[in-house]
Amino acid sequence: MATLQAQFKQFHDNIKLGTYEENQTLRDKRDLLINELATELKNEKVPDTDRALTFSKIDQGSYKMKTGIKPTDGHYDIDVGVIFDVTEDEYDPKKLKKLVYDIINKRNNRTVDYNKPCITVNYASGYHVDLPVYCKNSEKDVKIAWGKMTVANEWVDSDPNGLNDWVASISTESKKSRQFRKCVRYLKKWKQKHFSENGNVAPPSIGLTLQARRHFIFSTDNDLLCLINIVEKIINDFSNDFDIKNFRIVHSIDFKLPVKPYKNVYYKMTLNQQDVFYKKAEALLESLCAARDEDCDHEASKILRQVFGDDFPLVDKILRSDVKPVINSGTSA
Amino acid sequence: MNGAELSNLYLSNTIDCLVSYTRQSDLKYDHKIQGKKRTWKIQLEFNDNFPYSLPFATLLDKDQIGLLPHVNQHGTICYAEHDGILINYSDPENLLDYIISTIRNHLDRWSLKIFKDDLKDEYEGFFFNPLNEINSFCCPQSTYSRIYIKTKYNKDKTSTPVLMYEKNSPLPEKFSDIQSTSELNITSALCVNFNTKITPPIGGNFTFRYFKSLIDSLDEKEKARVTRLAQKFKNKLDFFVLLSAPRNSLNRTQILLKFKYPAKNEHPIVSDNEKCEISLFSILRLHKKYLLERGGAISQFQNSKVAIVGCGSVGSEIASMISKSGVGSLTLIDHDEFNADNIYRHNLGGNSITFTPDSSKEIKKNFKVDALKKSIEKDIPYIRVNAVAMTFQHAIKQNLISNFDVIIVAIGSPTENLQANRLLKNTDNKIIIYCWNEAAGAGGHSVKIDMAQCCLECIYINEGGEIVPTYYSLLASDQNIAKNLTGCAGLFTPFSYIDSSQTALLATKHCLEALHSITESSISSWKNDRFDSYMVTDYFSSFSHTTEHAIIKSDSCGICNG
Ligand SMILES: [Mg+2]
Ligand SMILES: [Zn+2]
Repeated sequence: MATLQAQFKQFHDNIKLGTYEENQTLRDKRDLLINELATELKNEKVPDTDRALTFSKIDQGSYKMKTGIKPTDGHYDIDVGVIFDVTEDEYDPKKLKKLVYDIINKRNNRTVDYNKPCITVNYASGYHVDLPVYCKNSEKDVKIAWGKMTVANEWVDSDPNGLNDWVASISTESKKSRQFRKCVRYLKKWKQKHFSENGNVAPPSIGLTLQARRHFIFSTDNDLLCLINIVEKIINDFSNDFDIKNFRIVHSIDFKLPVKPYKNVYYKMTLNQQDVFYKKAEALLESLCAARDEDCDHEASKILRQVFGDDFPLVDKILRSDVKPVINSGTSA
Repeated sequence: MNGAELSNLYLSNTIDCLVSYTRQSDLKYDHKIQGKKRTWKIQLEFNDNFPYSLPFATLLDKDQIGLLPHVNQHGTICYAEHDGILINYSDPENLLDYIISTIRNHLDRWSLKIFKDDLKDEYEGFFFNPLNEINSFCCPQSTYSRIYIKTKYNKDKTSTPVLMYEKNSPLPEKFSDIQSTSELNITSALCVNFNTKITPPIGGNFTFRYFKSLIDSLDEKEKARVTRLAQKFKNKLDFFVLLSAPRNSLNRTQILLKFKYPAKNEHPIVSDNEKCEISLFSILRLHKKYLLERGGAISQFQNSKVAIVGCGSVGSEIASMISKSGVGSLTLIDHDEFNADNIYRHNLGGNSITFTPDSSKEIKKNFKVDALKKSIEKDIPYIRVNAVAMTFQHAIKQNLISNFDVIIVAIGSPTENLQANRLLKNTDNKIIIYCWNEAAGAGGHSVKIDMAQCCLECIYINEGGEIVPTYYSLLASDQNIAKNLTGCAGLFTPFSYIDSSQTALLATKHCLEALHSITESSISSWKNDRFDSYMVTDYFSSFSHTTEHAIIKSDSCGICNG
């Protein structure tokens, strides 16, 4: 039985996003945008009133949840929600989102996209900041401006605070919440390595995060067992479905957001993509179990390197003599 | 190891996972190996060089072929690198144990589903056959509608493919003996482009049925396209089809199929006639992108322009090295002819000497630059060589030396170097490298100059503004070194080919540094540590083997301060 806890620790250190400098750059970009927005909105009023248009910000996503991993392509991102102090009747969602878009789009050191769920600010250095735009009917009733620039937008139920709170409530014990966050990062790294093929859109990270949150069971000094449990339950969340077009059984998944609007987090994935997700999760579980059942740490580490890539450390082979029978020297002539 | 020795080795084995083995012949053994979830049947084929080389391993469980990565269509197991390994041949018993348990561990591991993607990435390796290969100048990343194949026509009315290329990109005519392929037939191959990775057939045989299942798995649009195109082919005895599927960011999986029918037939994509012989051809990639990366050359240098002034012993060696580094454009400037005296110290040899008189009854000698251009373009497919057969003074006057990323001056004479330095100061060239051998094999130098920082004269100028021997000389000045062997006309400095090669190496490194934007001015020197023929300088004594020093602007340099 292998646990490779020391290797998991090293692996986690290798992949986690969150050194001070990495976060600092992201924070700087975020703060810059938020300050810019506040300055530009100083004289802006809520339509038909004398009330100043004000907002509060809310950190979201992997930055807030501390589950980020280093991107392979250098594309760091940070999510910061902008919650305006207006009700849904006071402002048209598209008008408000466009107002944010126009303010942010004034500078030319970056490109700004108006996306369905948020405004995305791309920096040449590879960073991007996602800014969802919200209104607030009451503290408990927040809605997100939803839609592309070319169509009418809607105010859609949302609960960014509730989502943050639900994920944060994983445990009051830091060793437990730490293991949870480690497992989310392992899953993200697995996703990064195995969903690069054309035609398989990867499951969104928020889905993996929420499934891990729902199914997490603490496992003392054994990240491998903790992860195996999560992956088993992720697989159980799938159900059989019939693909009429291709006349075959496929696996589909409907995993609801734990907060408003309680919709399926995997709603964007096609049936075929969901089936690929299932098959890859199965292959993941098989490998994790094979690693767990392996007597030899060297062999177990080789399996886990196939799962997670070379960030997972290779354990040296223990031989009956000190001399290796075959060494790959890399020489040539 | 012979059969008897190997047999003894087997008799004394203590390998845990080895359930049983049978000797098939002197050097061939079949094994039953206990894996974690199943037993594996493995054949090991040794050669008499064992234990200095590893045996070939074959998986005998046919039903597993096409399911495991690193096992090809014939069951050959890729369990270790065969090149560049250090085998502890002093302990064959341990080695055999290692081989068998490594194979077992590999097979157990590769049976996991998560390894299955590797199998798709190795599609070409799965079918690799060194006897059926075709040279390809097609881009390894692109998809085509159809490509062209030069074929040799056989007596049995079929054709053997020789090389494939794309219509819009001409073949490098001067490369190798490409020109001689102009007599071959040209036929077109239909390209089938998959947008997901494809999996090899279970059992390993590329059957017509398997081919049809691949065509079936295409997306609707591509299936319609290839069907439409296939219908346009007239009935023939043989057809070529190029399969192309995604692999990684650099290369697509590509494999050429040849279908041979006993009688004229429709195109296999639209035919149900299973009675055809299918042969597979592995692609030997000759496309620029692939070759440069494969050979360790730097593809970004394809846009770099380098000039070499002086193509003697040192310059010709630099030209050869620079061309192999991936530089896309090389200009050679030299007004000398190549003759037999040069053979033992020049990169070129007898190939570049002519013995037959031409039409004007003259035995024409080649200019060094022309001979070098010919030699390099035959060797390297993706380089443009410009030969300028004139002195550098003329070339500069005619404005032929401008706008280069790097100029390497390898003319040898310090005075001419300094003259070049003066003439080049007013051109738009930024980096100049000067290199030369010192006399009698004492050593050599390469000086990399960033013209914005300083110049060559800065290391030759004294406080009074006079030209004096540089501090970086190896031999004390004013000794009588040059030897006259064949009278005044043949005055030369004695040095050998390897001396020139060492100097050329320093200059080439300087050039590649500069192309990588490391432009700080510096001098690199090498020396012969055993040198004792002449009086040496303090600089010579200050280092062993090689050394490098930064160069700074001299306050008394008239060029830099004028
Ligand atoms: Mg984001
Ligand atoms: Zn100077």
